[in-house]
Amino acid sequence: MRKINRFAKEKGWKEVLEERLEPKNPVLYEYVAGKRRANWHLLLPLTSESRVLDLGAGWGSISFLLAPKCKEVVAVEGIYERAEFCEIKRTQEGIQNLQVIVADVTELPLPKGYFDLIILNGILEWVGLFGKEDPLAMQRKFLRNLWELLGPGGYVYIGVENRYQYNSFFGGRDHTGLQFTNLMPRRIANLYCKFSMQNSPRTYNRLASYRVYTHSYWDYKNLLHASGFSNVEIFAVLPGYNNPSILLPLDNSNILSYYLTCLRLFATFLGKFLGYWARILVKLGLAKLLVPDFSIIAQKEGLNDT
Amino acid sequence: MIHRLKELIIEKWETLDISSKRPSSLNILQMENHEGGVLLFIFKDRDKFPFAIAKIGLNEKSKTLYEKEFYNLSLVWNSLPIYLRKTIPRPLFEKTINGYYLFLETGLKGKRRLAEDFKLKSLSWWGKKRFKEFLKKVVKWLIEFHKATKKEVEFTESHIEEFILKPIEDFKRIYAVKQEEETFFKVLSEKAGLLLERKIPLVFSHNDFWLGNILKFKEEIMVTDWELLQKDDLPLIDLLMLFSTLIASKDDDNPGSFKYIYLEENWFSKLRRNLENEYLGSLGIDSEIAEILFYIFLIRMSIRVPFWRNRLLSTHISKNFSFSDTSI
Repeated sequence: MRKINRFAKEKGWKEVLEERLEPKNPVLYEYVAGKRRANWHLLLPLTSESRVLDLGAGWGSISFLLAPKCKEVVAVEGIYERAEFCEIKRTQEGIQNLQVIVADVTELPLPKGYFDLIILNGILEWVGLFGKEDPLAMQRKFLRNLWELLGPGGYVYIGVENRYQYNSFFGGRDHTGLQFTNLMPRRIANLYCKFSMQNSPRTYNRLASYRVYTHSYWDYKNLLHASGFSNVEIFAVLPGYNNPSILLPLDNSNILSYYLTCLRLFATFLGKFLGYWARILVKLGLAKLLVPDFSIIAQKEGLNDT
Repeated sequence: MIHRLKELIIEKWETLDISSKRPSSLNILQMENHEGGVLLFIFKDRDKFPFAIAKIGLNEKSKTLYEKEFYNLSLVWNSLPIYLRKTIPRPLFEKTINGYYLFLETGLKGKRRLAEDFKLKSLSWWGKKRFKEFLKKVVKWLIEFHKATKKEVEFTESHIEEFILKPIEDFKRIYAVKQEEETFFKVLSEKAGLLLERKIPLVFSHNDFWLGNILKFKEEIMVTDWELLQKDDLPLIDLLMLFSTLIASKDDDNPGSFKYIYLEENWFSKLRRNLENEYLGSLGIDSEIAEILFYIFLIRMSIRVPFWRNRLLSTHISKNFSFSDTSI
C-alpha cells in the first residue's frame, strides 16, 4: 500500500492502479476503481445539497463516486495508508467537496445532526473489535451515535453480510476465517475462536474471541429499530454488497419470483437445479433467511431539509 | 432519485394510460445494465410482472444510448398498427431527475430465453419440436413487423453507396484487409449492380434481434431493447441475426456454431431454409438479392464485433458455399 501511494504521488493514482493493481489483482482493482459501487444511491433522495459521511471509506471508491452528486462528503478511514491514497486521489482529481479524515469510526469528532446520509459499507460487523464490551451492545451504541450525527429525515446505508447466508451451510468461511462460526450460538463461536489457530483473512491475525457479529434479516431490523431508526428497508444485493449490481426488495416475494423466473436465466444443469430450489425458497418465504448479502436503508424520523 | 420517480409516476398516473387503478405502493427491482446504465423494474402493489421499466443513464455513454432508445421506441411505436403495438414496450415519458436522464416504458409480460437453452446439436425430439414452434412464432412476428414497416423503393446508386459500399469502406478502415477479402469485396461491389432499379422493400430493422431480446408469454412473442433500431434498412438482416446467434453445442465456439447453422446439412438447415423462404416470399425478395444481403449482414456484424470477421471468411472463401443455394 505504501508503494502504491508513493507511485501514485509520482505517476498519478489512475496510472498506478492500471499498471500495478489491475493485472495482479483484478478483483481488488474493481473494488477500488469500480464505477458501480455506489449504484444503491439511486434508492435515496440525494441532492446537490446533501452532506454524506462515508465510514470505513477504504480506498474511497464510494466517496469519490458520490462527491459529484452531493454538497459535501466526509470520508473517514482508520488505516492511515488508505486515507493517504484517498487524499492523493482527491488532490490529483481537484475535488473540493471531499474531506478525508483518519479516525477511529467509533469516536467521531463530528457535529451532531449534520449529515443527510451515513454509509457503512462492510463496517458494522467489525464494530465489536473496537472495544471489549458485548459486540451487540457496541453495535447498538455505534448506530445510536450515527443516529445523532444524522439530521432529521437523514438515512443510514448499510452493506453487510447475512449471518445465515446459504454458503455458510456448505462451509463458506466467516470473517474469523473459520467455518460455521456465524451459524453457531455466539458463546460456542467464542469458545471455538479461543481454541482455533486460524487467522482472519481480513485482519491477518487470530481473533481470540468471537466479536464479528453479523445478523439475520429480522435481527438487523430489530437492531436498527432499537437504535432509533425507522423505515427500515432491506434488499438482497447481488453478487455482493461491494459490487451492487442487482438490488432485490426482500419484502416482496413476487419480485423475487419474477427475478428468478424471467431475469436470472440459468444456462447450466447445476444452475437450473439451484434456480429451482431458489424459487421454492422464495415461495416458502425463506429467501430473506438465506441470501448472502444485504443492502439496508434506514431513516431517522423527521423532515429532511435537503 | 427513485423517490422522485415514484412521485412522478403517481402524479402522472392518469396520463400514463395504464388502464388499472392508481397503485397504493410501487416496488422496485434495480438491475445494472450495460454501458453504465441501470434498469428499474417497477411493480404495482403485489403484481407479478412489472408494469413499467425505467432505464437510467448514469454516465454520458448510457445517457446517449437511452435517449436514442426512447426516440427509436417512440418512432417504432407510432409506426406500428395496433395489433403489433402490444408486442413491444410503449414509451411513457423521458425526464432528467437529479442530473440523471431516464425514460420509462411499459413492462412486458414474458420470459426471455438463452441461446444456451437451445443447443441445436443436443436437442431432444421434444426439444426440437418446442424450439421449431417457438422459432416459427418469432419469424411470423418478424414478417408481420417488417410487412408493417416496409417501404418499397427502387434501388439507386445512392442506395448502393449507403448499404453496400459504405460498410465495405468502414470494414477497410477498421481491419487490415486480406487478399481474399479484397477480392470478395470487389465481386460483391460488382454484384451490387444487380440491385440497381430493382424494387426492394426497406424495413425497420431491430438490429439486435437475438433470443435475449425476445420474450414469450403464453403464445405471444414480444420484443424489447430497441436502441439499435434502423429506420428504412435492408430486409433480412434481423432474420440472419436471429439464426446466426444460436448455439450449436456447449463446446462449439462461435465459428463452430455458425458452421453448423449455415455451412452444414443437418436438421436445423431444413428448418432454417423453410423459414428463410417464408420470409423472403412474404416480402417479395428473390434469392440473388438475399445472397447480397447475407454478405452485407456479415460485413456489418464484423464491424460491430471482430470475431464475425472469421464467419465472413468462412463463408465467402468456402468454395462450396452459396447463400442462395442453401436458402432457396
